[in-house]
Amino acid sequence: MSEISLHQRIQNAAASQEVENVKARHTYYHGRADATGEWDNIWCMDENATWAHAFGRMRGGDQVWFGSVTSYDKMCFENWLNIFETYPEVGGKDPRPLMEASVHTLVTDIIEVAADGKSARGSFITPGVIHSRLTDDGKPYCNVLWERYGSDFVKVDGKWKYLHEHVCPDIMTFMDNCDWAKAEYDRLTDPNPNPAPPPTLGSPPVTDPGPMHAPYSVLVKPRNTVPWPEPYETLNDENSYASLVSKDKEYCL
Amino acid sequence: MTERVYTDDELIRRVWDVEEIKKLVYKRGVYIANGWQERELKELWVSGAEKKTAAYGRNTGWYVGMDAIAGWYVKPHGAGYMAYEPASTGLVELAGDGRTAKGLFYCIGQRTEIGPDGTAKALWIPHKAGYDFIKEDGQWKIWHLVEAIDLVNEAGQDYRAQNPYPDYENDPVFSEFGTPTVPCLSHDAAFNWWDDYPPMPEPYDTFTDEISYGPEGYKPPKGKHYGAGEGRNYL
Repeated sequence: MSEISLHQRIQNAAASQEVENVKARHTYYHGRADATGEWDNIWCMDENATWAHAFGRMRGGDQVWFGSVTSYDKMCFENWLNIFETYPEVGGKDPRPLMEASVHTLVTDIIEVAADGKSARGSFITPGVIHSRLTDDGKPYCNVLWERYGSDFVKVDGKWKYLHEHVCPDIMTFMDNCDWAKAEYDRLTDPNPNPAPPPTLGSPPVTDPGPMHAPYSVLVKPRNTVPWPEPYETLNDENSYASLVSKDKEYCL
Repeated sequence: MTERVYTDDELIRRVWDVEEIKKLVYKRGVYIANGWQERELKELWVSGAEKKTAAYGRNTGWYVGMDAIAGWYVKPHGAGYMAYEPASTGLVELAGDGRTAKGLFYCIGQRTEIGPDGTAKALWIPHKAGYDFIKEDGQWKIWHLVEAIDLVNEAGQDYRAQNPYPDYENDPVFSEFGTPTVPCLSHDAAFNWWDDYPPMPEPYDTFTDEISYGPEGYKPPKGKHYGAGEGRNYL
């Protein structure tokens, strides 16, 4: 690592806070299912953009947009069509936030800004809640979803933007009336076990097929799929949560 | 907003300010955990010229002015009471002029309390919290706060058994807010986050009422017509 000047340290300290804000904006956009707002405003949607989940990794702005915006909107609109007859007051309202508030709260932020100040990397744990009131079976729900994130950010035209996201879901269950470990144990020890629950978010087209992470199981040890970032010089394949397709971008030169 | 360029000295002061603001919010969490509501208002909230414009809001409106806030907020808490409102997901925007700041946080809150008959009850209360901060005599203070509660559920009880519509009049957590100075259903949890209140703070140069998390900054979402029942009673 090269010696970082005091000027660059100050710039990087401010960058660390800005990146924390970008990450938080993701949570608040996603809580409203405002995928368009999220991917339009806080993402660098070039060919290096990636979004990964247990099901695999989408690569490039087009594929990420299709999987994260188009397919997500589809779920929201289908949900609206399922509930409007029971709850006609949803008419005239944006169908997206009516699906659910998926609130991935952020704690344990570990952020490293590159010595060159052009990129930043962060790992986070999210002990989140996902809740909705007006549903097709007439019952409200609140799930708890605990995940880890590995996130890369780049500075584009003076603004910090997301470049890579790797989501690692570990625990998902109903709030307050379900033991996720016992449920998994009971499923596996049942003489006629049901298949494991399907991954959330469906199966959008991906370039790198999964599994990229597997949730809690009584059969395996915890996996450090997105280790925290170490201090680094510049964004490259060794310091990134996804390999770079184009290496001639300003943020990795 | 005019893009300002800061010197290193100015920039590190701004970084410092944001950390002080986050510390203020996290300290409030400890005050709440200790049941120090009176101390919280005295030590963490505005005490100067803005005492009269301070506001504390929840889903159903705002108390305005520190006296009105204290009249509702300060209650004796004895054995058996415990509350946590750990602030996560901090999004802090410091004004370009450095005099004020806005922050949005999410709290997976819990409250444990003893009822009049001596029985105890623990509640989950997840909510968003929007803050306006102002610097008084070199110290950051809470100026406006609005808490948008998403749901209230007793620990260990099946939330799916609840009526999907929040009962703002009879649910103890909502009804304890009483009749605020400015009554207003700013966040109707029935529609999840459709009403987008409180919204994310955006970068800004100087504070105006237009962007306040107090009642003066509230804008109803388009398409909200509670008076007409919104078609709820048509079918």
